[in-house]
Amino acid sequence: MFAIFKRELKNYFISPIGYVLLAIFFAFTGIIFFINNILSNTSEIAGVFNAIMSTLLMIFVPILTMKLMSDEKRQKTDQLLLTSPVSPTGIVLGKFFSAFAFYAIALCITVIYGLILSVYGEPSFSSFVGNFVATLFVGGALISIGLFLSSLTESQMIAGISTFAVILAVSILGNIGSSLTNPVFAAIANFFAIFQRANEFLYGVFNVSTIIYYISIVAIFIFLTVRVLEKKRWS
Amino acid sequence: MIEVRNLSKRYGTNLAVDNISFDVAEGEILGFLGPNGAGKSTTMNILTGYLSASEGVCKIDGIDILENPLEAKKKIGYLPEQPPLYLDMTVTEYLNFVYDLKRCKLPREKHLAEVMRLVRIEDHAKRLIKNLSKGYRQRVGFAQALVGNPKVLVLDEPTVGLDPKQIIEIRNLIQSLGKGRTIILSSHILPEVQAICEKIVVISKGRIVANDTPHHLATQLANESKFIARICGPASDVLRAVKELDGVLFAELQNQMEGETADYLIESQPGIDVRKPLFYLLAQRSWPLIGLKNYDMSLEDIFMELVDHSSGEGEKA
Repeated sequence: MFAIFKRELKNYFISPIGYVLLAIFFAFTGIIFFINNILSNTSEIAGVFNAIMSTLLMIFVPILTMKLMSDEKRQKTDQLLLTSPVSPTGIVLGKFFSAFAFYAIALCITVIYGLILSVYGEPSFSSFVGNFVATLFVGGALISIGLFLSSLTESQMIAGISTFAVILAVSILGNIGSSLTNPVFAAIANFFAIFQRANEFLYGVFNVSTIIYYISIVAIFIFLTVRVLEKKRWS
Repeated sequence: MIEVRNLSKRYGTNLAVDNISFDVAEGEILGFLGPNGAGKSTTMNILTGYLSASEGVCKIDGIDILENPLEAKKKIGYLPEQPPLYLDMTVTEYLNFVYDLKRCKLPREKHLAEVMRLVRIEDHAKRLIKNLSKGYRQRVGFAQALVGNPKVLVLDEPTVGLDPKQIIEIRNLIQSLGKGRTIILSSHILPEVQAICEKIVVISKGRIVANDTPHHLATQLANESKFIARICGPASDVLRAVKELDGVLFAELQNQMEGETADYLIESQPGIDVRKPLFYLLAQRSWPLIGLKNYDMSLEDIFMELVDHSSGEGEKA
């Protein structure tokens, strides 16, 4: 598993894609930080995280995950992975954590914004940590969805576009959940409200059940991805 | 070392591998021979744990590949038909990755250098795999299979697409690797298997049609009762007379030479030697017998016969 993690993480930096993604991430958050905090003279950093969640992840995650599984199939390198002494779960976990680690590295840029703010003002530490953790968890959940969709196809393009569509759908579903009257539909919509669940964190409230919710989402999609790999053997 | 029992693989309703069983002893090189689409790659994919069998058991060194896949896979080096290469890595990076992936315990630098030396890619160690030619990519694939010094090597059509010089090099490599390793090699090219392998399994339409040493296979099927006679005489008369001879099953004109001399392929009923009666018959008719020789089947003929035979049976069924 560690070998795959290492290779994938390194791979982001071998090809230009890793640098492009980091550049987009840094530029986007930098502009938001400048407009939201520097220009408006406030130490409230939530706006930056809010922008990451509501807009940036929709583009960032599909690009990050589209290649993960689909390219192995296309290049037939899955034959190497599946015939080496690594379990399918190990393969999928290695892939997931490589993408997640890359995302975490990108997200660490916000620590610098926090430090800049602390020089000129007194930003709330708990609010910063809450926002950071929420954004990290939401990203992790979306990455696991992208990973699963990538395992369904040989085409990076299809994987990327479908991940984008699903993230869009999840974001819409979460927003309409509260206005649904049918309890069943409302429950379904609320379950998939990946973005809205993070709201508690934004106010600095650490709720164990919310943490478990995100870990469950990741576990479900990792499990499904492993099933897709296994299914290929039996079909 | 390798034990395959009643292995079947179904793709939907299509039976790709149909109840095959065979063994490979330690240190043996087994040739897996069959036309394209016979089920060779499927069998190899099952052996290496890439696919699961619909039925049957497959054991590597006594370990069931389905029950304990991780342990069994540690013992196998696999070169699939298309080498599984990451094109954006250099040869060294790739082999280091495979080393980590296989959780190899041997000293890293020394072992990888040894593997690269074996397949002769030391000079290309720092190059990106995507810039290598097909022959070199095949060698990198080979190197990948050798990492970790596995006891069993499974090679799926290792020489396809290579030029004749590379083919000979790869063959020599396989033979040198064969010392102390068990190798299964698939191919649809006969001379290749004949040159390298100690045992041949012929597979056609998912079934084993022969399983023997190349030598045995040749003698077993090389029909003792078939021979070629060179006779000087009017062709149609000779043919008619020979056919009427007691014990002759079949006779045909093979090739006509100068004058009235011609070669005839004659097949007798098993257990009856028609050579003497033939001699007297020809002497009586004053058609000189110029030559007589056994008809040796090449492995190619045997292969065709086996495959035709099995497909004939298949059609009847």
